[in-house]
Amino acid sequence: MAVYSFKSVGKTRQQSLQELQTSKIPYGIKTPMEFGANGEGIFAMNYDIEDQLSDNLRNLLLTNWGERVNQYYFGANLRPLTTEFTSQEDFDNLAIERIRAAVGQWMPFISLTTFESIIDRTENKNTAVIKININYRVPVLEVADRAIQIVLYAI
Amino acid sequence: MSLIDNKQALKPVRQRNFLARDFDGFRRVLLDYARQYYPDKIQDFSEASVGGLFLDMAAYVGDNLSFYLDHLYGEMNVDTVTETRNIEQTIRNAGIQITGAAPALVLVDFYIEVPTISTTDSRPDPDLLPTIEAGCSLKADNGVIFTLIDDINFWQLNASNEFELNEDVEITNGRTLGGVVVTKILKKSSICSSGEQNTETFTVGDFVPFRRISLNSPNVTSIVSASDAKGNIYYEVDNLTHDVVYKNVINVNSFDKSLVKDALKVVPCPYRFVKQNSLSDRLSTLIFGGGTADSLDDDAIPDPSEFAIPLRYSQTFSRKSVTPQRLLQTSTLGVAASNTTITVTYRYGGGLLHNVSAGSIRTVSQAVLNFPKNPSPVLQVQVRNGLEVYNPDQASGGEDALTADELLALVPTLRSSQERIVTKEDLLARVYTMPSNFGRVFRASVTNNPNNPLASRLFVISRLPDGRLIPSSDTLKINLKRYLNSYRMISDAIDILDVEVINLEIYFKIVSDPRYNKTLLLKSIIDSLQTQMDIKNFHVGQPIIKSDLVATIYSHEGVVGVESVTIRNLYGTVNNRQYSNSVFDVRANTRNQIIYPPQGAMFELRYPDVNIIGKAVSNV
Repeated sequence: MAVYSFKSVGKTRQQSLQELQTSKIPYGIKTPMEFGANGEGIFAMNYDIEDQLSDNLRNLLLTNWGERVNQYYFGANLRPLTTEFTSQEDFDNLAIERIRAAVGQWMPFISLTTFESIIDRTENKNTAVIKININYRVPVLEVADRAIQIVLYAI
Repeated sequence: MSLIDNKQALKPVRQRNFLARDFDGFRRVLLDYARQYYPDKIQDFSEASVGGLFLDMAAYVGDNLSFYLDHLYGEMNVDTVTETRNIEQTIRNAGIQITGAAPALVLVDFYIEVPTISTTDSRPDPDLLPTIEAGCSLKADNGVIFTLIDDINFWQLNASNEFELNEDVEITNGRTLGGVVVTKILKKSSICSSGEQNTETFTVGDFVPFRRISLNSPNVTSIVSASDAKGNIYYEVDNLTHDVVYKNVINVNSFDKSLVKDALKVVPCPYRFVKQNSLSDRLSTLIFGGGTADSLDDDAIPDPSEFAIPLRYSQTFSRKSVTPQRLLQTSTLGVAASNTTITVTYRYGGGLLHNVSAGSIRTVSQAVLNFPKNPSPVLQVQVRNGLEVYNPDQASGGEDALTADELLALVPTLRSSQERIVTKEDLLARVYTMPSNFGRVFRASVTNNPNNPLASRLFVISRLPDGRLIPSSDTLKINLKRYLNSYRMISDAIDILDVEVINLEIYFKIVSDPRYNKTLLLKSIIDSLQTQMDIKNFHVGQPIIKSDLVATIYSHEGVVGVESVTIRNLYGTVNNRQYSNSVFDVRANTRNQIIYPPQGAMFELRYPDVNIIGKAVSNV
């Protein structure tokens, strides 16, 4: 008859291993930031690496040069394009160039596939809403055909 | 208790790295820490993630703190201090007064024409002997204003308390009438200082401790007077803890007044201030005391004997430190003016241009003559109108203000000198920081006196406005003697001597590339040599290294070779130019291509435009 110490966790080795395999380890903080729920922690977290990468890519594209502390050239720097918006073709060319450069430097494991911009002036003729749809793949994770949309406002 | 200690000792300690000092370093150690201790909380710290953003911000804060920590320590070091206000503070902490441009001093002859007593008595009428009040304003030919520092008395009282001609006055015959001398020309000399005098009035309100008032003129050399509407006189002190000042008053003792003109008197100064000069704009600020008149707890008249250490209820006493500057038992730091008007009279201005040439001071701008015997106004006007001035010697001592770098260079020596001259460096630092209203020497050097082991020889030299060296005037040396006397050890002796100036001429011959214009090449080389041999780069006893001159010549493009560099001594009058009379054997004093001056001597290219001669031959 076995004698157990009360310091024992009270679980079998198999139970512990199974629990470890199924437990969720957070990758990073979810954006937009929100408080965590159900004992998750202070912030809501991403538990899926694809969601984390999608958040990171969105943050990269929406960040402009000079906004990041001590990393002046972090970001795609798209906002300046919205203040000198003349034609969609010019905008698209410059935006693609900047997005490609930023992703190549800061998230080189992402493979960009398609770019699409939609100019919407229905609400205000003077202010154009620019919606940019980007499709991408992550070859190292075998993630295919994810898409994100970012929204800019041309002044 | 011990159980708790053991548990504490056995508690796992998290390893922390304190080596990071910059952004990248902090980011790296923070990342290592997070990965080591919080792998189950967050994993993504890439730049694009929010975790990376937090990491960057924490590293940024660390980087900032680290930068300011380094900056802070840098600002506390005299070698690395950079901010103007910290440079000022460093200089003040070392006890150095930030001075402005120094005024020039010159001995000026004052002439007055006084009628004789009668046609039969050719002595000047003692009733008409005046006093020229200090502050008399003179103007040099170049517009520089000079001011009489002390009153000039043409009279003195004899043993019977009767007025008679002052014994220092020189007399020559003046006008004659029918062969009879009717006036006498009286001459007396006194020191005048360059610069101007200004008076400003400040209205102050309610009591403010350590009140500050700023004067409008830069390069203030001395505060002549400061008083308020209630009649209180404010004295300038080195530090607000100094509650007495020493003042020179006329010696009235009949038995020794011919030997000792002035006596030193201790004056209490409950109303006092310190003067601070700004390094950036050379403006002066007066800082008054921190107490009110109600808080005065000392006697108006100090009795030094009361300063004795009390020996009450005991027959022994222990060692006690004594501050010579503090003779009043007061707890205040002086009285600050309140609800009154402060009138400040001060002198300002100076610089090299104030070293005017001999004979250039001939105009009296303003003079006040007092006649103690009060003769008739007509006679007073006659004497006043006959006032003339002339400076037989060159003014000297005028110097531009010391720069921040020059002042900082004095800090290491002055910081350790503690208001005493102990080492040679102390002595030099004191010479260079003498209050500028006493004049300033250009270069000074200290050597041992071979005849007296307790004495040192101090060599000094001044400068003309055009930069040429000139022996320091006797007035300047007398002032230097008085100044140094208050800092020297009681058993030390200092002999103040003139620096021997050795004038030189440089002759060089080069081989030039034929593609270059010889004239332009020579001019360029001469310009470089003039800069190298500029008197500002020379000190007393500094040798000349010939290879440095050769290197300077070679540094010019177009010079193929240097055939010769010859240095010659010039003395006396050469080509209508006056050089010093020092004869110097260059060859005998050259060893290993280095020319050494004698002890207490200094090399000078007196006329740099003509004292460097070059010749070029082409290499064809």
